[in-house]
Amino acid sequence: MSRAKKTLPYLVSLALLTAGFLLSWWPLYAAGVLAAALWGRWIFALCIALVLDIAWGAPAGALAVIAMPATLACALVSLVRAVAARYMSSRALPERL
Amino acid sequence: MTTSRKRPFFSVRTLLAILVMAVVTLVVVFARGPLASALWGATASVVTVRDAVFDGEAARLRAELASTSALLADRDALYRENLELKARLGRNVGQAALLAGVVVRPPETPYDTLIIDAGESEGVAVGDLVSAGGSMRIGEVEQVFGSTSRVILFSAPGQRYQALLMGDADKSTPLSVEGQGAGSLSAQVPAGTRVREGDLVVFPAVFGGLLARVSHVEAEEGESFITIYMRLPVDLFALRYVEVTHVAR
Repeated sequence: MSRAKKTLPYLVSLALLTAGFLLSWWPLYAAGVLAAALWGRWIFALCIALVLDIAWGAPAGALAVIAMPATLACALVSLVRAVAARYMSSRALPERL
Repeated sequence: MTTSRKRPFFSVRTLLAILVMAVVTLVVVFARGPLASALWGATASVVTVRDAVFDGEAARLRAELASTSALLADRDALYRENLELKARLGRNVGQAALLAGVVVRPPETPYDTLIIDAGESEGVAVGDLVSAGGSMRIGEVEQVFGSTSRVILFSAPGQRYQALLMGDADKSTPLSVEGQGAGSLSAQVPAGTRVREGDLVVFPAVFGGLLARVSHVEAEEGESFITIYMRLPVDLFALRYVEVTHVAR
């Protein structure tokens, strides 16, 4: 994989996070985390999600039981991505007689 | 004959990384308070500089402030009269308020919370009431850090409060108000209750304060209850300063 392709997920994610910071809009932060998770950079995405959960705190009301919603969402997306990628790659394997 | 080996779902390296991240997450969960305190202590000034750089509508706000100064003076006079009446009734009117700047507000935070630049060092305590000016209560302090605090707004989803709907001729109807998010609240009252858009909703008690203003009334034919929707009487997205009032426990 070329160097540009390796760094592209990080660049896109950081661009979304920066846009969220400059425009003060939390969905862009979430998009930055999810973009990194969907692109397979789950450690980076998880670290950003942890920072966001520290900064935003726990939600109020009935959602308070979740405690770390950004981290949980990132972990779930990463797991789904891993399962989907394995499923798709296994289907691409040529059958041998 | 070739035999195919099933490759493991996760490699050893991936499993190790998952384990490390799980440990890090657990540490963050248990040390959330101190980490948040350190994070906001380090970044609050950066966020303030960002707001100053991008604050293009400061001039417009100053003009708007000038045009509403007459209304504010009238409101101040009524508030002073209110305090004098309470003092004559023997109630303590000495509620000191601390002015705090809003560092982060919706929609930068997703849970209807504010981060203000007053914390433990300024004497802020959990449970202190936060208002947008005078008796306009908007939330209460939920977490206190070193030099910042987290305020949860009354309109945060899932928050419930007892309030009074102020109707005509000083008639008041008790309400159970629930936060809907983004500065909105809702409540239900029995059908037939006189309520219209613009009616005020206040907290009970002498120093209750203003909570919200009715923005929409939904009454279905044949239903036993009317749903009223309210909004906090302040633009959360443009909130710059708040007042923190200590609540004696």
